[in-house]
Amino acid sequence: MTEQETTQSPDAGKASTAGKLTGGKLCIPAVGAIGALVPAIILAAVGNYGLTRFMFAYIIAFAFFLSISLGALFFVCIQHISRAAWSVTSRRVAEVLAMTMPVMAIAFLPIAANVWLGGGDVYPWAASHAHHAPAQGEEHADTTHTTDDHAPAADHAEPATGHASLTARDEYAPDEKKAAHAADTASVVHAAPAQEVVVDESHTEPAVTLDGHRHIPGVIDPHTEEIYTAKKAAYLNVPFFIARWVIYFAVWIGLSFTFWKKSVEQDTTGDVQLTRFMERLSPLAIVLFAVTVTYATFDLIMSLSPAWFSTIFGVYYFAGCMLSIFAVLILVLSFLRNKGIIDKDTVSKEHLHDHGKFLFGFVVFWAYIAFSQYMLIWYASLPETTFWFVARGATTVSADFNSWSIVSIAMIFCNFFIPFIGLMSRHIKRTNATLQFWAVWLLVFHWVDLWWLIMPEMSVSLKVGLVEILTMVGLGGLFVAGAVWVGSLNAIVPQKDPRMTESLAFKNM
Amino acid sequence: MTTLTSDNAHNPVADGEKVLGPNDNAYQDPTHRAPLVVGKHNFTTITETVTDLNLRKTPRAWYIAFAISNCLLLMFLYCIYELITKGVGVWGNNNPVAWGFPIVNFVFWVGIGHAGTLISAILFLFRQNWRTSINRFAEAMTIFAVCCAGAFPALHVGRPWLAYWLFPIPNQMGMWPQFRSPLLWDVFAVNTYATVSLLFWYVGMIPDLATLRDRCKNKIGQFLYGLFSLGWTGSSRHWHRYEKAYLLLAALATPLVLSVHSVVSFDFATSQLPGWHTTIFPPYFVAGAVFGGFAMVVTLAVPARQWFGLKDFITMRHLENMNKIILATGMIVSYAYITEFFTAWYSGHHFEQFVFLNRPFGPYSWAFFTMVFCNVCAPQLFWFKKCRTSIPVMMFVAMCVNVGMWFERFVIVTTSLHRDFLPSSWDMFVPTKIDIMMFIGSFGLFFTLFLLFCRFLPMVAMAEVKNVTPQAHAHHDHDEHHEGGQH
Repeated sequence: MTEQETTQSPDAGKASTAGKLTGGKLCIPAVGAIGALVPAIILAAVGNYGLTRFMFAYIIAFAFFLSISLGALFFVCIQHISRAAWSVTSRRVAEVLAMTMPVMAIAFLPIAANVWLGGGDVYPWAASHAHHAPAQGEEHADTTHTTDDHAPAADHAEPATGHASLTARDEYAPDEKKAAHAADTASVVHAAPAQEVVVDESHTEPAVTLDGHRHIPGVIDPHTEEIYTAKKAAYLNVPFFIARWVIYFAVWIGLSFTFWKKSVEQDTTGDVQLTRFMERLSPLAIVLFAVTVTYATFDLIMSLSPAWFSTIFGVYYFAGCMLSIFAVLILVLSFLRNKGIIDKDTVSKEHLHDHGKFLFGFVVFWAYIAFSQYMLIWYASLPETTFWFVARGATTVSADFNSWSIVSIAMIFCNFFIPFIGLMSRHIKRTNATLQFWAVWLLVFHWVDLWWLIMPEMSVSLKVGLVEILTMVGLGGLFVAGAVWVGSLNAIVPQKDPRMTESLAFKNM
Repeated sequence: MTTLTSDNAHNPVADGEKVLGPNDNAYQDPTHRAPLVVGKHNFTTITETVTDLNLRKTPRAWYIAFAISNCLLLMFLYCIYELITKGVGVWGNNNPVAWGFPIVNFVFWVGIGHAGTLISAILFLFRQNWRTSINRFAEAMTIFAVCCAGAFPALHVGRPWLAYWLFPIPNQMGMWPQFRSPLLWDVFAVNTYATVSLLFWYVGMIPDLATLRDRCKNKIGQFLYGLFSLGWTGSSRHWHRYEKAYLLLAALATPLVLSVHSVVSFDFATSQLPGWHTTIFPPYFVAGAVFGGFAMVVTLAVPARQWFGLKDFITMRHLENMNKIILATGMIVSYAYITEFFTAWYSGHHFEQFVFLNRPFGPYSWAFFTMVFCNVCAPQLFWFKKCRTSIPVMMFVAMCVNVGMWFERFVIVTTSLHRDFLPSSWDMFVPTKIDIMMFIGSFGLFFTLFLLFCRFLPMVAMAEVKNVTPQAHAHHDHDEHHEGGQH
């Protein structure tokens, strides 16, 4: 249509009462907070696990803030693709949060460095495989090695046969299939009898042992993990990993920047074509988003345990992204309203109510995905995948309980049942204080969720303390500084969006 | 409806704007909401157009269509007779492929139903007002599809007259169903789904049934419409309660959209069989169900709007929106295919890998590539607006998806089973005549019910459509500019 449509109604003027963030004030403490990473590193370095502990804490914090950025990007895409009007007044905040992507790219550098230096202390596949990957022919020899090294394995004969037939696995010899499958399960299984389940601290001490390989006793036999890691070397290798992350960030930064830039451009021009452009871009953006987020999740979190796999895993992290973005939007919008930076009629109770509904929706969605993943693996009970849950104590075999069990059980309630009931009422979603309470609650437990996904790969005992908190503060400082800086460049509410009047007039019921 | 809030925001109408043609509402102008009802309609003409379909003399074409579907239905009944008198041996199910056509057809039909629930529940909660023109017959489709779906497992139990044993009924033998079996969860999931869908459909229809009662001329019609409209008078108290009930049912039906097909996917995914046991199955099946369901809605809506003269209500915009959903869910399904293949390789387990190589390169590769073409390739046409708004293209894609989604279930069931762990037990699955006749016959059941619905019940939710017309939210200053409701 023509430029004439950009004529604003008198109502649209209301939006421009929305102020700008005054960046400087908030930026300085945020940048200062980055300093918290220093004591985190020192504290970790003097602890049992050394810098490995710091890296795990760092990956949790990175996954946490990345989930907010990714959620924000997806939120923006969805608003455009659905031609939503209700969310117009909140959209700029999401655009700004998505624009923290370059900061997240910088924050990724320590992880890239860790992988590049090839310690294998965090990502076992990153250890230089020349020494460990058993060549096909050597597996028999390795079998004896394994049986000797691991007393539990000596108790049953299956592992030996297991490795024997593992040599044949790649030939796809049909007649050996059944035998090989039985062997698969036997070889991956953690030591079955109860007395061999290792929970106590003494066994957890050697976090990095066995030729520099990280190893959690009693959960997956490190030899098996090596075999499976070697099979994936075409995907799980250092150069390809780095290359993938370059692509992910190129996609994410490109998309976030485009959406932000075009939206900001509309503030001055009011060009309706920009809305149409973003509407056309968003489906493509979602396709790119889906692919990159899935593989990024596999890379960042799933490959911490390289033998393990779950097809739903990308969706699981995506559910967390959506949960966190709605929680963050609620908190940020409420903060800006309270400070008078956003007019209380511009983002009204009605808009917050809708954010609350989505928050509630994604609590259920997260639970649905988490349940699907857990229930299916638990029900089929194939050792090749259950070991991952055993490491988290998420099992119904009481002998396999470990210190993570309490977290696994708590998550059922704290990530689902309690907020599900808490957020159900319309009244709660329309009351600022209660809505913010649940947003904070869910962010905390989103962190717990990530901690539960990542930390058990380092230790069977619960590891949480100052290192994790300081890392969160440090990376949080970086994230907030980035967001505040971008946010202070332009008005924090879109100015001449063609659907602004509709958004301002929006009411539930 | 209480949630049509966007209507409160009357858009600024600049002088000299391009006025949209009366039938062109697929064009998107961000400054305006396109009309959802085109043509010159007011409350009276909406009522007349919709009720006339029920109150006029039965057209001959209806009898012809009804006769054809009845023939198919008879074929279905004949197959059931064969099955019951001779046993399940009349099917092609064999030892490795113990789940052949019956389970494929079951999943196919349950999936079809999902579009109806999505339109009526989820789109309602998302304030997608365009749903009002299509929700009624999509919901009807849901219920009839569930009827067809239910027939297959009920017959597959072997002694269908004992099918009630599936329910946990206390009995003197102390026999209980196996609560650990996902098949039993299915019984509960599908029954809940059927019940809630039926209630939702019926509750939504009450005001329209009352309209029919008031306009019906013959005694039987007056009595029956009167009976089922539950004494509806259209008082504001009635409307108040009605809208509350509708919102609550929508909220209850929303998780059902996800749960039913998730439980159906559990039938496969809880097993230890490569190709079945994978964690993405629940959301993937749900997306697939919505995908197949919307294809069926388009398949039915395109001829229906033509034959019943509903083009003003089921507009090009409605069809385009549905095509977008087909594209979106098709992409989710493609995503699941890709993730499955990648993970099969990534798992490092050669049974997984074998199954996923056996699909494209094994003896059922023709089925696999049919599925890929229909589900992955064909919907890509919908990236282009020209294709989304072209009737022949959308019919082609919708038919592809209908076929493709049936083949998807066939591929999942058959290719995973026919070559299991033990090569000595490998066998091919070949459907028998009864298998094929029964599947075709189930369409007879579906269309018979659907034609009865078209003849006797209001096909378009009149009360809801009226709510999205501008007359329902009259702004007395500048009404002439608005042709229809807003979306």
